[in-house]
Amino acid sequence: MASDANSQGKINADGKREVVMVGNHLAALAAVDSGCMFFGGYPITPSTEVMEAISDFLPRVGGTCIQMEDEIAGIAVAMGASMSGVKSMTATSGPGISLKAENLGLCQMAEVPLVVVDVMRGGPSTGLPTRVSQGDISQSKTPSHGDYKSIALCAGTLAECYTETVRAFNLADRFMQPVIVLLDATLGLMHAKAVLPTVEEVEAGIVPRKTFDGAPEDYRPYGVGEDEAAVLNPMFQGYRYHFTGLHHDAKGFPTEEIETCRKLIKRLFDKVDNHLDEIELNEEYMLDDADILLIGYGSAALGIKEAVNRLRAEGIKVGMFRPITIWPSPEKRMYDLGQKFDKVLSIELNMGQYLEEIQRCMGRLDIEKLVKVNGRPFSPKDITDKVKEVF
Amino acid sequence: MANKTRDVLRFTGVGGQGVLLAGEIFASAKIALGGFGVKTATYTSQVRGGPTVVDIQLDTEEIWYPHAVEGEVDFMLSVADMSYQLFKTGVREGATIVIEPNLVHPTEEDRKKWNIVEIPIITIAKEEVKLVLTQSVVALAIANTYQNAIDDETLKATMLSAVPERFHKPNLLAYDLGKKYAEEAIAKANA
Repeated sequence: MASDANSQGKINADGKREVVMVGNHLAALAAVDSGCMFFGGYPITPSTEVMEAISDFLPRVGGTCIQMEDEIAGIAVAMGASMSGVKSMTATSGPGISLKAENLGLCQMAEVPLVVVDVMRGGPSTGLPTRVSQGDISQSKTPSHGDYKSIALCAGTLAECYTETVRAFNLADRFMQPVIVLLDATLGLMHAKAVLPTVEEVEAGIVPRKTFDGAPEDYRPYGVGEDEAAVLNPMFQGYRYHFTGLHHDAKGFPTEEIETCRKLIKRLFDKVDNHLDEIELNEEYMLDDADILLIGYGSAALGIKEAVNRLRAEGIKVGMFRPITIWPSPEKRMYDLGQKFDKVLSIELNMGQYLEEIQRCMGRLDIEKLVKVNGRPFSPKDITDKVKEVF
Repeated sequence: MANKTRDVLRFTGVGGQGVLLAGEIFASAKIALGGFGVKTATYTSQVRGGPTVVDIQLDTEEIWYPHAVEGEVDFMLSVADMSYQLFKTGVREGATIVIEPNLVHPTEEDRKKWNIVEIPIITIAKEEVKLVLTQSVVALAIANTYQNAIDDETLKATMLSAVPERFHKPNLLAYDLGKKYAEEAIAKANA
């Protein structure tokens, strides 16, 4: 780590920043570059380096990092800071998401923007603390009970540990809800060069959180359009509203009124579903002339890319589709790909948590799968062998 | 299918010995030269005392898969027997494995399969540099002398940028000693 969060790396010939860091430090750097001024957390392997770095970065820019007594308190203080209008983040791993689940639900219901970095490790429970996994894919869709529409982004390269964290801050403020950034033990701890946008480019992409500037007595934070996000003014600035996890009316007060309750939950869905073009992001690698489609995400995609290159060197035409926005899933694009490709192989470091989503989107069950749950990454050979075996 | 422009190195030991730092220095030095370098580390949940492996890949082309592919490791260095036994299978046949002979015990079969070289890495750091922490830099120099992956000056400059200034002198000594011992081992093998 260099001494100043905003002077990291060097500018290359293309005007981009080049830094040499581990993925966890890149997530911390992205947070600070995005304007994050508060981090609350409780360090857990393999995410600890996020807090390590941001505890160094934040005080340099006037921000605050606090280590709390547990995971629940870590997200609670971050949520509180966000309610005060401050961009906030917490970081953890799967066991921590389990503990933060209640407050993630509260953030969804009360529409509090928050970035949660989840560096995945083997599970369930404490699982394999230092080993890689993609076991939190289902969890990131519905960490809490109830109905809501999660946004979860999954970095697949070192640079995306940065860019997806930046995107998470922007989406959190745009849609007024928590956004989970999924890294994993491989990406979080691998040390290499990442080419990043400049701080100026990141700042140019920031759209400030909406606020209401009319008369305080007219303020209705949840009285917004049918597919719009709540407008939460920072607490303690004269705009009073009621904050609750209960079903609530336009001012936030609890209600069981039939239509109000229905409209509230429907709005939590529609504010996301009606704006998918602002959220969806995928990578397509050598798909144009491919006969075989490989689908994977996160660090597994690094092995997949290497496998694609090796198989193509042998004359086997394969390509890769990689969802970067995991939730909501890219269902239209996956449907189209399911129509185009007969041979499809899903590759995941879990027992097939995303496979069911691929099957749903493609409307077919004949998707081959390659899974691994022993805490080890897919090597390119695992993938080339599987492709040759099943196709 | 190994990439011919790629150097794949593996350091193994137990958590706390400093093998992680040596890997980062290698990767950073290659990047400083305009190439691509990736370091990944794998360790157990006990961290200190558990088997640790650090894979380092250096290339002029972009590297996608960050871990070494099993069977494609060009050079391995090991300072702990449990890690040696666990991770030796990744080394391609005929490649060099440098071991700390006081701590690592290869079988006769291993000696036929690989070029096993014995260099007392920890003893050098402890008794000649008089700072056991510098064993990772001794290892760094040995690995680079065998693999000839990075020019010495760039690697030394990167190493110095990663350690506090008051430790520059012992680390430079550790590097020079590592290089000397490796050159002597190579000369002996070629004699």
